Order: sequence, then C-alpha cells, then structure tokens
Amino acid sequence: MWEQIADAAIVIIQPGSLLLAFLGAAMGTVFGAMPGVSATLSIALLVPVTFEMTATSGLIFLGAVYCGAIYGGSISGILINVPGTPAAVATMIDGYEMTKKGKGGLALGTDICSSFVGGQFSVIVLLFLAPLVAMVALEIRSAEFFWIVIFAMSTIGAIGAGSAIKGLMAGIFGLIIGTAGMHPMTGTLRYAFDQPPLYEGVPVIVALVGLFSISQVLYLAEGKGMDTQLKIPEVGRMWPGRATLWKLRGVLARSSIIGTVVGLIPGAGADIASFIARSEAKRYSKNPSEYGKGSIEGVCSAEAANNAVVGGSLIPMLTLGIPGNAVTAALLGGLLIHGLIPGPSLFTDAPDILYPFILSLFLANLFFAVFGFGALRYVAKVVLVPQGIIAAVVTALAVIGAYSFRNLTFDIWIMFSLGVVGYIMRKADFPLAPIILGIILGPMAEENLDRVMTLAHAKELTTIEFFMGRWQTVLLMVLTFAAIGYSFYRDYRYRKELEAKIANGEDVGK
Amino acid sequence: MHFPKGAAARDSVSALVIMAVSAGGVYSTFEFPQRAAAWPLYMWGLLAAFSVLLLFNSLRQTVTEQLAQVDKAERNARIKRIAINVGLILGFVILVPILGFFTAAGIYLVIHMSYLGIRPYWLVALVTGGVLIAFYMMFEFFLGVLVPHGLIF
Amino acid sequence: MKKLFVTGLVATSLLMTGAVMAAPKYADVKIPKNIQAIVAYNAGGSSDALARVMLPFWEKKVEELTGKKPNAIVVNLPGAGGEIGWTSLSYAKKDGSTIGVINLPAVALVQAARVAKYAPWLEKFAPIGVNIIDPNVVRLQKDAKYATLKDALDAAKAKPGSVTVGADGPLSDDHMAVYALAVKYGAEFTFVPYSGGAPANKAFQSGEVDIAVGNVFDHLKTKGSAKDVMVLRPSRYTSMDAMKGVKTAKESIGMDVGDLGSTRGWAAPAGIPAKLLTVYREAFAMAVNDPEYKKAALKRNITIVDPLVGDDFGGFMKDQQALVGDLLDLFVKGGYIKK
Repeated sequence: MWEQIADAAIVIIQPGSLLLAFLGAAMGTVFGAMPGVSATLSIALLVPVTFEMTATSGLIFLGAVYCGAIYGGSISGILINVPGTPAAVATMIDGYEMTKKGKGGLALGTDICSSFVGGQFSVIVLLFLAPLVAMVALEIRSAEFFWIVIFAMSTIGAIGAGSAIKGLMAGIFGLIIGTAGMHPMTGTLRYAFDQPPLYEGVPVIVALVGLFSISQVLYLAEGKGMDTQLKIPEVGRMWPGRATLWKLRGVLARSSIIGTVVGLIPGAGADIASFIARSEAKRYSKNPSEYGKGSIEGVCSAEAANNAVVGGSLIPMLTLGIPGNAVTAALLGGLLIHGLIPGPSLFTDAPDILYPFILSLFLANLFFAVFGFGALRYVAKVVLVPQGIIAAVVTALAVIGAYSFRNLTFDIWIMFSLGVVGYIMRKADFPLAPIILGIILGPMAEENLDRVMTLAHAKELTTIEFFMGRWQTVLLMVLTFAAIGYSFYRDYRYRKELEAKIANGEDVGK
Repeated sequence: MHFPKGAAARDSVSALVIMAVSAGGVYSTFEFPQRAAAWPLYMWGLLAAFSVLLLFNSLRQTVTEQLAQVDKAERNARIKRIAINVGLILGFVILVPILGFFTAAGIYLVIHMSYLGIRPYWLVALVTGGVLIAFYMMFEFFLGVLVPHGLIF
Repeated sequence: MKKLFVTGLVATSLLMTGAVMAAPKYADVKIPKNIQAIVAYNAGGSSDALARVMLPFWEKKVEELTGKKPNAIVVNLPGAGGEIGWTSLSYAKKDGSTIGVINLPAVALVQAARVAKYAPWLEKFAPIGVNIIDPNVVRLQKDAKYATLKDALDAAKAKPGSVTVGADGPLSDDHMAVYALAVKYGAEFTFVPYSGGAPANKAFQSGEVDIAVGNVFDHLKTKGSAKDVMVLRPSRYTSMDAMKGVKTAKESIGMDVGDLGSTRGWAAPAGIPAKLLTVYREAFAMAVNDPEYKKAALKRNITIVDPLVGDDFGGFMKDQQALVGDLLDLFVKGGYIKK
C-alpha cells in the first residue's frame, strides 16, 4: 500500500494534476456558492468536462469539485442567508447571524478553516480505511450484498430528511426506474419500448442531470428571476487567528469524526451530518445559549462535519459501489464513464487510478482553502447572480451533459422527462436523492437476489434457509429490519412533531 | 370522517395517483417471463402498499400543515408560469437536434432569461454571448466533447 | 525502451516499404483516404485495445500493397450489448471506408436473443480475418467438495443442477462455454451469471460457486483460488508462458469440447468491392504476422493465436453460428432467449 501511495504521490504532484485539482476546487467553490446550485448539481453539470480526459485526470477534477462545492455552499448562506447547497443550512443559522453583527469575515474564515480540517481528516480515514473495507468486501457473497443494498435503501427512511414513508417511496420509484432495460440475469428486455438506447437501462448520469438540474431550473424559474435588493455586506477581516482556532479544537475534532461516520452510512449526507454535529457541539458547549445568535462554534461544527462527509461517503462508494447520497452517486457516474466499476476489485485492478484520486482530495481541500482566503473577496459576488440567469444557463449545461454522455439526442429526452417528473415530485414533497440511489442500487439488488435464489435451488434449500446459512447475512437482515422499523417509528414521531408545531402556530419551514 | 386539507390533502392526492400508477405497473409485469417479472412485481407492489399507507396517514391526520393560500387567479397565473417554463425548455430540447446546440441555446437563453425578468437587455445579450463562447471554448475547443450540431452550426 | 521500440518499428517498416516500393502489388486498387474502424465497446476495453494496437500495422501493410497509406481511426460505438456498433457497421457505406471489429460469439448470441437490426449477420459481414481468440478457462474452486474438474462434471451428470458454475453473463462467450461443456459431457449445471468478469472472479474467490468459467486473464488473476484448471481448446495455449501449464479439456476430462472463447475478428460490411476486400485481407495477414505487432499485442495482454484470414475466418464464423444454433434449446430452457 505504501508503495502505491508513493506512486500516486508522484502522479498528483505533476503540474497537470495540480492544475486540475485547483480548477476543480475553484469551480466547485464558485458553483457551490451560487444559490440554487447544489453540490450534486455541480458535479452532475461538470461530469461532461471529464468525458475526454483520462480516468485519473477526470477523477482528480471531480473529486476537487466535490470538496469545493460542499465548502462553497456555505458562502451564500453566510453572506445572504440563502444556502447554496442543502448541506449549508446548518452553517447558515449562525453564519448569517454573525454577518448581521458585522463579523461576516470571521464567519467565512472559520468556515474555510473548519471545512479544511474536516475535509483532511476524512480523507486520511478514507485513505487507510478504504483498502481494509475493500479487503473484507472481497469475501462478501451475493446474499450479503443483497442485504447491504436493501439496508442502504432502508436507511434512507430511517435517517433521511422529511417524511420517512415518502423517502422510502422515492427510493422504490428509483428501484423501478432501475428495472428498465435488459434484465441483468436473463437479458429479457423490460420497459425498453424497442428503443436500443434503453437496452442498458437509464444511464445514471442522464437521470441525475435530469432529476437535479431540470427540476431545480423549474423551481428557480417559479420565483422572481432577479432580485436587485440583495447586497453583500461588508465582511471585514477573514483570518480567525490561531487562538480562536485553538479554542475550537474540541469542536473541530468531534465534528470531523461525526461527519466521517455519518458519511459512511448510506442514506445520510452532508446536510444531516452538519445538523448532528451542530447539536452535539451545542450539547458540549460552555455557552449553548449563543447558538442561533451567531455562535462561531455553530459555524465551525456544521462546516467541519459537512466537509468530513466527503471522505466517509467515498468509502462505501469505492469499495462496494454503493453511493450513500446523491453527490457520491454523481461521482459514481463519473467513475462509470471511465469504465471503472466501483467495487472491491477496483483496489486491486486500478490502484494506479484510485490512489491518485484519493490523494488528490488532500490537494482539493488545500486549494479551496487557498482559493477561499485568496480570492473570496473578489468572487463572493457570484452569490448575487440572479436566479433567472442560473436557471437558463443550468438548462444549457444540462443539455450538453445529457447529450455528450453517449452522443444521443434520445438522452436529452430522458433527461427532460425525468426533470419534469422530479419537479412534480418535489412539489408533492418527495425527496429526489433516493430516486438516484434506487436507480443505481436496483439492478444490484435484483441481480443478487436472483443469484441467491438460483444458488439456493442448486443446493436444494429455500431462499430463506439459504439466507440463514451464514451469520453475516443474518446480521445484515437484522440491521435492515431494525432500520425499517425505526423508519416507521420516525415517521410517526415526525408527524407528531409537525402537528405539535402547527398546533403551536410555529413556522414549519416550508 | 373529515376531508383533509392543506398538506394532507396534497398527500392524499399523491397517494391516489401513485396507487393508480403502481396498479398499472403491477399489470405491466405480467407480460415478462417469470424470472424477469418477479423483482419489478415486488417493487410495484411495495410502492402500492406504501401509497395505501400514505393515503391512510393523510386521511387520519387531523392537524395539518397549511399550504400557502392563494386565490384562484394567482393559482392560474402560477400554473401558466410553470407551463411556460416547461414549454421553453421543451422548445429548446426540440430545437437542439435541428438547429445544433449553439444556435438553439442562443435562442433559448435570450428568450428564457428575458421571460424570467432579467433586465436590462444588454445583460441578457452579454450573458448569452458569454455563455456560448465559454461553452464553445471549454467543450469544443479544449476538451473535445461532442455537442449536437445541426443545420446552422 | 519505448523509444527503442518505436525506432525498431520505423526501421522495419522502412525496410519493408523499401523492398516493395518498386511495384506495389495492387497499385490499381483505389483505397479510401480515411477508414473508420468501428468498435462496439467503450474506449479502454479489450476490443478497443486490439483495434488501436492493430490499425497502425495494418495501415502500413495497406500502403505496401497499394502504394497509398490510408488514415484509419477507431470509432467507439458502445451500447445495447454491442448491437449499436455492429448495426452501424452493417449499414455502413460499402466503399471500404468502414471496417470494424466483430465479437464472437456475442454477435451471434445477440441476434439469437432478439431481433437485431444487423441480422442475419453472416450475410451482412464480409470476413477480413481474426487472430485473437481469448480461450475459455474452466476453474474449480479450491474449497469445493469435488477433488477434480472431472469429479465435478461427473457429479453434475449424476445429479443434474447440483454443481454451480459462475461466469460473466448471460449470453456471453463464457455462458456459451458452460453450455457447450455441459452438452458434450452430458451433464447439467446450475448456471449463475454475474454482470462482468470481475464480479464473477470475486464470487469465485469468495467460494460462492463451485466452478468458474472465464478467459485467460480471469484465470491468471484468481490462480490462488483454483485447485484444478483446464482450457477449452484442442491444444494447449502456448502464446503466453503463464498458460503453457494449463491442461486441455482432453487431458483433463478426457474429452475434447472444441475451440471456445471470446473472439475478436475484423470484418467489413458485405458488398464492398472484391479487390478492396482482397487488399484488406492480405494486409491483415501481413500485419498479424509482423513480429513487432506480436510483441506489441502481447505487451498489451492481447491473447493472439495463429490467424485465420478471409474465408477461413468466414468458416469459423459459420461454425460459431452453428454452435449457437446447437445450444439454442439450452438458452431457451434457461430463460435467456425467448423462442
């Protein structure tokens, strides 16, 4: 492993790699900072940029975009109280309060430092944990894999945001879209309508671009296209100072760990991690009453956690091929177009691509910090780009993205249709991320289940007996049922809380 | 039994729609050979079951989140607005293979941004021109990524 | 090293061009200036690699034969299991400006599975030649309860369906090899498809299946997990040193099951001018016999064999189609092909 890391280090210190990592981090930051352009959308829109690159270059670029976009999302939150990405909502609560008090610079500076620390911590974990997980994953058999996939889908209900039932329904909808094309085990065509472009199913990248960009465009286009009232306030000095950072060390450490762990769990993403980290920080804080009124700890905890999700979330994606959230799903799409199929074999088959990618994330975190301190003052204006412009330009980029993946006009239609469906679902309060996970995980679940049934038949066992044959499988089944049970409990509690809030006349944030 | 209002009403409508769609979905699996039919059948069935649950929950809900109240005229205006936005994107998608990406995108960007109230017009022109040049340089020139070409460009 | 290689290459070709420069054999044949070589799979795949390694040599040989050097480029048209690329090849202009790689038995299997737009393929493609057959290798898992492959096959004969065989599939060359082996031996396996060679290898290593069928590199990657191995060829595969020790089916189970594997041959759309086809075939034969080409191919892990040119390849194509026809019932019975 050390040898591979050393080889990879040589690859990433090439000027080309450095440039790509810097461009990726800078573009990610700028895209993420634009209100309405989430981290997922940033990656989905920038994947086409990598079509003609080598796999290594493409991944270095996309990884950097991921890191930059998660960080960049908080900029608009802090400056104008509009989150650039859902992951920045927790940051915004205290960040914007600080700006109102004239400490916007301090908020931005803390934001950069915390994102940097959280990000680097999680990449270290990724670097050393992923190969171990991959080694264990080599022993995973179809039965276990089936339950891992089902577990991943059920955790969406257990820890996602909003209604658990709706989350699960969105996931199932994705699983159904995933059945289009050839049946993985027999090649039977389903829902292909005699269209060869559909024989291999709905391409993840195309679905992602459609669901996230077109639905978002329609959402943005609903409101005022241009708001001339918005202004960026004076921010002042950004560097928070060593003393301040030293005081935050406990918060930083705790939040980085929380972010990484939450990232590992499928179904949860940076938004959830940042809220958990913030409430944990508040619990341990000496002055919890400051939270919500411009607490620097609030900004620090949320930001360290959401950037720490990056490394954590890449572990299941790279080692098992299971993306835990929409952003990693987008990144997975980026891997697939370069012919890299994530899974344990990736670590033995393509270490020459994988390790440079992982190491480049260190660079990405460094570069967005440099970019943040160096250029933020000048590029902060992007948060003021009118939504009307963002909407139109995103559509144009989405069309390129959908088309150039396979050079098929047909894919533009898939993208458009899914975008409209996604918009309607959003209006009905269904989350979109589980759909993407379903599209990716559906074929995996189906093929492993079919295989289990075939194997069980050969051994003259029923499918249930076959599942019971290995303790690993049983453990995963227990976990899955626990997650589903908890989803229903959570849904019950969610409704009760909502009702209580409404009964009290509180704003439910819709 | 009471008739649901607000978010609960919306949810019950969604549940009914999904129920109908999943019934159709269940039916669609009958034409597949058995081995290929099992999984989609389970999934459609599960979706149907969840939609029943959603309907049940939304009907049972006594206190519900109020959705923003709008009068009929504004509601219609809003629907019209959404339809126009969808229509503009649809027009763009139709034009791309005919006119080629750059021409179609130029027309689309100008119309949609103008419709969304971007003013002054020189800003619309500037953004359109800038975006087209940037895309051309980035995709065609630097990266060699294919974009659709058509009659004009 | 690389430089040396290139210099060597240039030197050889200069020498050879010089030798025939005086009178190109087919100086009267008009060669298209640009030639597209369609590959029905992604860039970076094995079919793509073969095309990219082969074309520069082939271009030069065409030049030697006609005095004009065409510019051949690879066009990747992946999708629908290869159908998109092969359909484009079959409908391409018949002026020699398009040739392509056809993958066997995939072309025949896709046609058997659904109404492929390029059907009937034997009439749509004019064979140029083939020199790449990646033979099927059958491996027995080291923890399986059978001592040898022969024991496992006997068990599958005595109790049909009791032995599990994993492979890339369905409708792959590996899948076909499983059926061919079963039919020849009178056994019946439980076939377990995996979506690709890597997942199949992983499953084999984890002990999920008793036997795995794959190609040369699948075996080399999973050597440690196998206790008995055989190659489905009439004779041992000697082009690669690592494979010389692997027994043939005849040596291992006492029965020859034919020449099975994944084949990537060159073809042109049927109906291109006969003279042009002759030139392409001769250029192919010269290119694959060029020692520099062999070196380059082996370096890229391309499994070369003695070439079949022109009608010999055509005969091979017919054999493949016939084999698919023979095994059709099994595919139908397994639910992989609708009748």
